[in-house]
Amino acid sequence: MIGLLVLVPLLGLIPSTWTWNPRLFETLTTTVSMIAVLTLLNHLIGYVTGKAIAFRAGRLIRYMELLISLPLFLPVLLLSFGLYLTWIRLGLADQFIGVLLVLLLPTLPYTIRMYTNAFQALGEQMMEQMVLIEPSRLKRFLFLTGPMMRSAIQSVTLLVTVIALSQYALVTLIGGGVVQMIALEAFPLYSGNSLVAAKEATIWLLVLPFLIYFVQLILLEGWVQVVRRLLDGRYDSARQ
Amino acid sequence: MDVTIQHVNKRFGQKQVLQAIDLHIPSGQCVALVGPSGSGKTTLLRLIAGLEKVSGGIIRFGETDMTHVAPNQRGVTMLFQRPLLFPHLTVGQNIRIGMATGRQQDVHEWLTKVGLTGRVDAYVHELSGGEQQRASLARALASGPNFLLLDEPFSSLDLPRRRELRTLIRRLTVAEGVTTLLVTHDREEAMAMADYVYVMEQGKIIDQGHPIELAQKSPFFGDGVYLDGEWYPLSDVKLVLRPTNGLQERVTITKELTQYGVRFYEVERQTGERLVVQTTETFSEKVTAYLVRKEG
Repeated sequence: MIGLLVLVPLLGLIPSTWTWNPRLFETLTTTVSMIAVLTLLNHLIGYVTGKAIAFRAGRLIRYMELLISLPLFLPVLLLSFGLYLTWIRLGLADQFIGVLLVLLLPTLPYTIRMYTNAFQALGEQMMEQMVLIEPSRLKRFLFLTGPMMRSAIQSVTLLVTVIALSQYALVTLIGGGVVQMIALEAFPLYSGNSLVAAKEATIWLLVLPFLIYFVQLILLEGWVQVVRRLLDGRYDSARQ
Repeated sequence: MDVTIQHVNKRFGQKQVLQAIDLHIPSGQCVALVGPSGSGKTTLLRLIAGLEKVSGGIIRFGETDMTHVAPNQRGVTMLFQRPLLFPHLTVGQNIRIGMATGRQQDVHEWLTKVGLTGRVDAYVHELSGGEQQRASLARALASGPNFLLLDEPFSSLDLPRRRELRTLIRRLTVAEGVTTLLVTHDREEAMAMADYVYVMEQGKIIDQGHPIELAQKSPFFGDGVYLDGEWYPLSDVKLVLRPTNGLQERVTITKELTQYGVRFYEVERQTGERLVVQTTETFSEKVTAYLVRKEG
């Protein structure tokens, strides 16, 4: 049912003719770069913080969890104007890095929550078992923790991609129109009179998450296959 | 390798969990820590593994002070209550990951030892609970540990699987000469597996001794499980039970079963009581038997 609700409107999006918006290449490059760096930051911060919240007790951790969850309770747009003024003072407004930092606000709380849940699902004893079995942190992550958390990794990447693509207001305000992302191309076209251009931009909005999802799926599956092959025969040399 | 715990304390905040624990595990032997839930036995096990930091005292492996050594540098492996196999890997890969370099060919040998011949390519979800725990045992022992820690590894299994596994663990650890510490609240398990038993309560060791001694004197064991002793084969159908009080008694073998090279006998006493015993050796002139359970 949900699938139908999503798929049926998409049928009307296929344009009869294609025109190539000359700014689109630059916009797509900025969008993909933004998603790539944002996803990486989300994974790094989310992994470490999620692990701490999942396995450490104490008042400090509980306060930290509450602070991290604040953007889930407060509309980010509410904070964005204050942030915009601060970003101007810091010289981050209208900059790629300024938009990147502000996009952490709507994404990071979900990422941390997902990693916390993933670590809790693995359990403390499983983590301890891994520590006893593989001394090297890096190899522990590459051979054990990473592959076992690939569902969480996949979900986080997809969520960050979709949220980053949907943040029209934040990107407009903080990016000041200088940082061009695909949403900034698409939304004004919806109120304009070029239906074909609007359809094209929407298709890019649609294609990007699917593309990122499938590329990631292939990479993660490849990762697990490499781990299995190394363990099946070439683990000795890999461990040296 | 001998393991020595000297005057170990552990505090969680203001709460004293372990108080001045002293214990010694001779090389190649199996020592059991028994006691009710919350007595501190799992905490002590975690301190030995290095998964918790001690608040005071010394932990030695042989002559080496291991008190502040990282868990993965201690040469310790651990069997937890759940098998904790890695689900993205096959059974063979699970065993290989813990192995020292150059020992990969031993995987099949280990699978045979734990009764999982031919399951090298099976994934974890294709194994039963008992098989998973046996694969986990193979992984623990295949790494060639100095010290095997058992944190109630039988608790998720049904009774027959539990007996099978503990027999298997005992047989393999004896064969490999691995020093073992078993944490359990089950007296039967301690009696069946351990060479020496420490009884814990409220963070202290309140009693210790050989299983048979404890069966007679410790209130923790004091519900009549005192029939352990030496068993002499008299004929194909008779055994002589010599309990530690020195009295001999003939019993009749009513059933015999061999699993993983370990014999189980169901015997009937002259009083009509039926017992199941297991032996760790083939009957020759004299064997030491462990009471497994009383029937009827």
